[in-house]
Amino acid sequence: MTLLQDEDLARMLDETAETYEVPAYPPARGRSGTTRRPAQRKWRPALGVAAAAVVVSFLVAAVSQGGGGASEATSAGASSPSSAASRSDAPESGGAGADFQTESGQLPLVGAAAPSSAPNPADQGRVVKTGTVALIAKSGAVTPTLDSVGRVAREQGGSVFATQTQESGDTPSGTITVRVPVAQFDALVSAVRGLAEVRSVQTSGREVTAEYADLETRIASATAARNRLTTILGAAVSVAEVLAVQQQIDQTSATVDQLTGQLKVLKDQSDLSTLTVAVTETGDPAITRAQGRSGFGAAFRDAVDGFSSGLQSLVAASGRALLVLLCLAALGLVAAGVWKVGRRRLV
Amino acid sequence: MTDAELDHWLAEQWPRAYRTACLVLRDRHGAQDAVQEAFLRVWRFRDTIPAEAGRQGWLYRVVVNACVSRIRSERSRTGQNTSDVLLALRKDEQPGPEKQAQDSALTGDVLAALADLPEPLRVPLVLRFYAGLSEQEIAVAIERRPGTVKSRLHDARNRLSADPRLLAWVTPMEASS
Repeated sequence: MTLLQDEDLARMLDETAETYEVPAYPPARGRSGTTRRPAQRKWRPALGVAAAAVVVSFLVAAVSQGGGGASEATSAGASSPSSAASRSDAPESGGAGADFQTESGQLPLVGAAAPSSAPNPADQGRVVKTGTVALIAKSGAVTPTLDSVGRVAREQGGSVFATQTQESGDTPSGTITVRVPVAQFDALVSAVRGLAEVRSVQTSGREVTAEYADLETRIASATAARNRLTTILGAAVSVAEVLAVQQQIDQTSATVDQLTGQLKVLKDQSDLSTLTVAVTETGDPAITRAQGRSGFGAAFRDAVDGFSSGLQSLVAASGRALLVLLCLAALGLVAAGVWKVGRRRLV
Repeated sequence: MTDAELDHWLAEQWPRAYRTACLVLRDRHGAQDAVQEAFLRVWRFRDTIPAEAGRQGWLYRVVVNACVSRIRSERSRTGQNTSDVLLALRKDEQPGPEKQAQDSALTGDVLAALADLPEPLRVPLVLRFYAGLSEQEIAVAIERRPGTVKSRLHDARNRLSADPRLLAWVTPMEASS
């Protein structure tokens, strides 16, 4: 068999490799797409690294301070309390960004139109409402009562979020969690109270308008910062710049994702209130014990319970008492021994 | 090595590293991603770059690892074995009729022969006869002993020598010898 020589192999691979056109170095890349370095750009590593360091440092400061110069400028007209608070808390650092220019002569950080931080009118008055209602249904009426709660919730524009029923002996019970628009929460509670005997009602409300608006502002600022970083990434001319800017983009994206998640949860909670209704039957022993204790029968039962619990306490305490007695006996024996020895010596 | 020196060195290595990855993967986009990822990794761990002697092998180890990772992730994603993946990649790389006419038939034969080589043989072959690494450097690059490298190169050469598509491109004088 004829063996291929080194020269043959090298020539074949060289010719094959030549068919692959080499892309420009370094390949700047962005998360949202691929951007290539313009061909006319010259190699300026030192200047590029320094510029990237300045840009990245400024953007980190801007993002960490809740948007920096750009968001400060746009939040000037905001009327929400949170925006005013963030404006007053922000240091006077806008000048640093205003003085910075990129290599292309643009001013990426000044005049960048960040979304307005003023809260949407629809977002005003956001309240998270939750509540718990315990009902006592008549015998055999647990399931119909749960169904009625679900029906009432649907009539109020809501839906059933979860249901749970259980049967312990002859006393079934169940729980249903429904969600309705916040505006319908009070009407829902009133309607549920009318479905059966009410054992307890607990409701709570929390104003989250400021928190919601603050999250929106921070998301807008972080998104604007990420967009500016992406623009800067397209102008990166070295691996150092690409790496530094890409890391900042990743961090900013993580911040945006985290804040967006929080906003989503808050929006969901403030759009729909949650009411949990627990339904038990009249014959439930726990309820029976708690209800209608009167007369000699109740007094006798109380007496028996008292006797029983007192006896239990005595039995429980006897263990400690026995231990104390044993200790005292041991001490007494030791003392007696010492006394005897001492007495012999004296004698 | 300063950052500027490292950047300059990487810029010098870029074309050959890219084409090495192309020969290993035979997918120009995948190769670009792999080498780009490898270079970023080199930059990130620049404090661990060895001295002058072992630097080349170390760089290609990162490049080879990036290529192999790409092949494996593609294989796990598609459920195909390596050869299938590479053949599929090669199909994606098929140029149009006009480009095909311009391309040398040698290229097609070499790529086809490389596609038939298993990855453990193909990588040392490309590193030796295209990237120009020594057996010692290849051993560093693929994290195997030099003896293993020598053995794999021998196997790869034997397999390619048995490939009639490549023998047709050997000069008659060499073939007769």
